[in-house]
Amino acid sequence: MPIYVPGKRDRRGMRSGSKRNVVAVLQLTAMVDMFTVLVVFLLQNYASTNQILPISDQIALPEATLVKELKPSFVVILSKEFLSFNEQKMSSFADVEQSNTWMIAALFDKVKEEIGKLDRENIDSTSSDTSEVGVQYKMTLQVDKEINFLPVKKILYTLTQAGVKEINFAVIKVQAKDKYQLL
Amino acid sequence: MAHVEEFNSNQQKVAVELNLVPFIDLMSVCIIFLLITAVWTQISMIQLGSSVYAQKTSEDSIKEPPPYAEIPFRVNVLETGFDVLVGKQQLVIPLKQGEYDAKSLLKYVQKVKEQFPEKNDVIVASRNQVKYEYIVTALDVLLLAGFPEVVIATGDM
Repeated sequence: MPIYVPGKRDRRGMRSGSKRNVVAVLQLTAMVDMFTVLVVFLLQNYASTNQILPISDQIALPEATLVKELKPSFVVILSKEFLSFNEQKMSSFADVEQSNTWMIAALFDKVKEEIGKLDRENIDSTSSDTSEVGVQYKMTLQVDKEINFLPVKKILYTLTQAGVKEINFAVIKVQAKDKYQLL
Repeated sequence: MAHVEEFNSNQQKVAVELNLVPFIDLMSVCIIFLLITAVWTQISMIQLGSSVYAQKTSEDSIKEPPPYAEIPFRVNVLETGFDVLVGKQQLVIPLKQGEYDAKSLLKYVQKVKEQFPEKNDVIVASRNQVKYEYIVTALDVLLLAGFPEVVIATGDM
């Protein structure tokens, strides 16, 4: 890539002083190498799995070391302000916490409705493929780590009563040696 | 601009320049796209076994009890620390400088695993006022020690 050597110029933009025309050549090899390494590194770290779970900014997830990859599932979010199911607000956190009953009615009805839809879809598709029946009855819970366990218990109870067969907790993966100071 | 020396038909040296500009452009676009879409916090999940309070449906077949089912293994997460029950043995792991001592819990449950290598199931129970973070820590420790069938008892303690 030719560039003009900087220096004094006259009013016409021409270089004053020496009459010799100098063309400097930029060494791009190192930059191209660096770009290649960067692209390879970023491509290797490209994770598409997290795209399947809507992550709320209002939640600080707990950390864990031995985890599994996220799978498509229903998502229940419990932040310090609200409870939502599949990004649809169900009730406020205060209502869930102060409720005297274990059952969260709004959540129960919504989960029942969604499971009912899945049941109908599964009945329709049973003739072709039965291998994946039931896989959708999974639930991933995103709960703020500072929240007490009582509202979580209520959600677990409600989901179980509604017919959810597998409950997972969303966590942030960390290394065991960092978390438990293992050698 | 990178250049390559070649010889023309008259065996004279000719400098052929590779045009790297489009390549650098492409690389720049790629890097910007990957940096924007990169996921820096890796979110995963902890999978629970079926809850002990799960509703039994007609489809659920009667499963065989897990190995060493007669030896109850339970970890209670209390405000004062962890409380581990293995058969008739009980171990209390108190808070250490105000924090739950997950390292000691891990050491102890690893010993339990050595004692009962075929045992996979464990029940985790907690008081209502304990923070969710510490229950996840207890679950993680148990999974790490080799107890994959972790269930949560949602009943009051």
